[in-house]
Amino acid sequence: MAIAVIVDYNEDGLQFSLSILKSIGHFEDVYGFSCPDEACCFIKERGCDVLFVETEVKGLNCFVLINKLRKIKQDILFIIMASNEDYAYEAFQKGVIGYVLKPLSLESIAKTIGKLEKLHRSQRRIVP
Amino acid sequence: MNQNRPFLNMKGIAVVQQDYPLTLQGGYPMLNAVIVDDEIPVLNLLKMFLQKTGQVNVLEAFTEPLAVLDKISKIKPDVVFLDIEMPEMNGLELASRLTEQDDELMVVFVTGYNQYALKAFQVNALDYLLKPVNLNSIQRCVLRLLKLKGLGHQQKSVGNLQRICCFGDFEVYGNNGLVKWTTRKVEEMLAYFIVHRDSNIDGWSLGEILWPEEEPDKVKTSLHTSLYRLRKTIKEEGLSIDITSKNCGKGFYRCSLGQCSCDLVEFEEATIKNNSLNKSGIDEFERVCALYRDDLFSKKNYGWCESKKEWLQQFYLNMLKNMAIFFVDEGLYQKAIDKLLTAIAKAPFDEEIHKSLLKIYGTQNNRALLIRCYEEFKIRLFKEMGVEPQVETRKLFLKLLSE
Repeated sequence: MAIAVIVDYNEDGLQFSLSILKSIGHFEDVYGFSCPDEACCFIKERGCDVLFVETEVKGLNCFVLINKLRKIKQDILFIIMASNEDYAYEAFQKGVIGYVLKPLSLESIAKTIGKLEKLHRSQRRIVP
Repeated sequence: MNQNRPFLNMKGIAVVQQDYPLTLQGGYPMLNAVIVDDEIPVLNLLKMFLQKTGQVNVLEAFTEPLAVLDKISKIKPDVVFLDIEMPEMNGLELASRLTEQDDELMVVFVTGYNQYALKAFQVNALDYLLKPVNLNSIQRCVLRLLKLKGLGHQQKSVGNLQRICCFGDFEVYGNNGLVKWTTRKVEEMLAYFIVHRDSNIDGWSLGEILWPEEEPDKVKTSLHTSLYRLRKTIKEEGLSIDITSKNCGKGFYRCSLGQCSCDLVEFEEATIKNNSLNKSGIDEFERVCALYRDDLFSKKNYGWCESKKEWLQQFYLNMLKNMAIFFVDEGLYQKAIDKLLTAIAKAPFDEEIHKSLLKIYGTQNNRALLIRCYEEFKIRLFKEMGVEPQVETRKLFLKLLSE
């Protein structure tokens, strides 16, 4: 796992999520953006492995942003941070890998990261 | 291929010698799967769709969740497809307990309700499909699992999820699932190219076939526009189909399907190999037979393929008849009856098929079915064609009845 990016309009929420992800220590770098366009520019230049995104950022629906980012970089894994379960089914349909309820907790993030690690391990096992 | 019309007598049925699953498995990524659903029809449907993707081996199917828990460590699948609402134990709990045993096991839920999606994420499910499932959603899910397992790029390079189905409805599957063509003419043009693949196609004749009513100038424009659209969609879908233009004074086109698998190609390959039917070859016959889901492009009205359609249907019917004979020789009467009934559905006025069926009912001393089969055939013939069964058929019926 290399680069994680968080996109959250709420500055306080963003700082909190950043602190949790950094404390988990699974990513080499964690970056946070409150503006989706800035996040897109960053990802274009530096890339991103896992993206944590709020269900809505500055009026932009997370699935629209996800589609946009997939065009920039195909293999990003997306995790939605939501305040309720309304988008959960759609998230599966859109190929989102994780869905965590806010406020984030060490436990919920650790569980989701565990899922990513599991996939990472199975990839290494199969692809020499 | 058309020059190699196979011998269609009872002993000259064609099969392909190779072991079919190996052609898909050898070198290609496959997922080993287990399915759990308390409803058997759903289980069967899911199994069929998964196998149809050509990328999944269904190792076992369970109707009881507790049975899976006991066996999972022995079966060791890559993925489990679980229903959620089941007696004894619900799918969410089952998923947790299964992943406790094997933490790399991938979980996909297949359920009639969408309210469990959050809980599904919480037990680390990778996908969540709503019933009723269809081939398209299964295809998308399998593609996703392969990608997540790091096999996606291999799949892309060999493109073996790319599939063309010509029997029954005309369906082409590309990298984004079922391909939607921009116009019906573009779709028909591809169908024509598939049937006449690997041979030179005169652009002018193709234009006249597709736009018989149009003026020559208009035909030329329509042909070029449709060809442009077809090539564009092929590219967008990552299909390995290649249509080349040969402009040596005349406009010729040539189409090659590359690595894209196609039921018509497989069926026709089988028809040019004249192998006799025996115990070791019967599975291959079953496989080739299963390719024939329905008549060629049955839901389309493509006049130009009528003779091909008829020829393929004849071959299929002969396969069914031969298989029935084989099963009778082996004493497997029910299997023989199944084949003949399938053949009757396709050729309801065929005397030979009915005679074979009457003989089986006679051998089984099943007078009720013997009479029903003959009477129904007689009524059908009279109603639709205004004729009686042949004298020989009647004689056979009476002889069997008296025995």
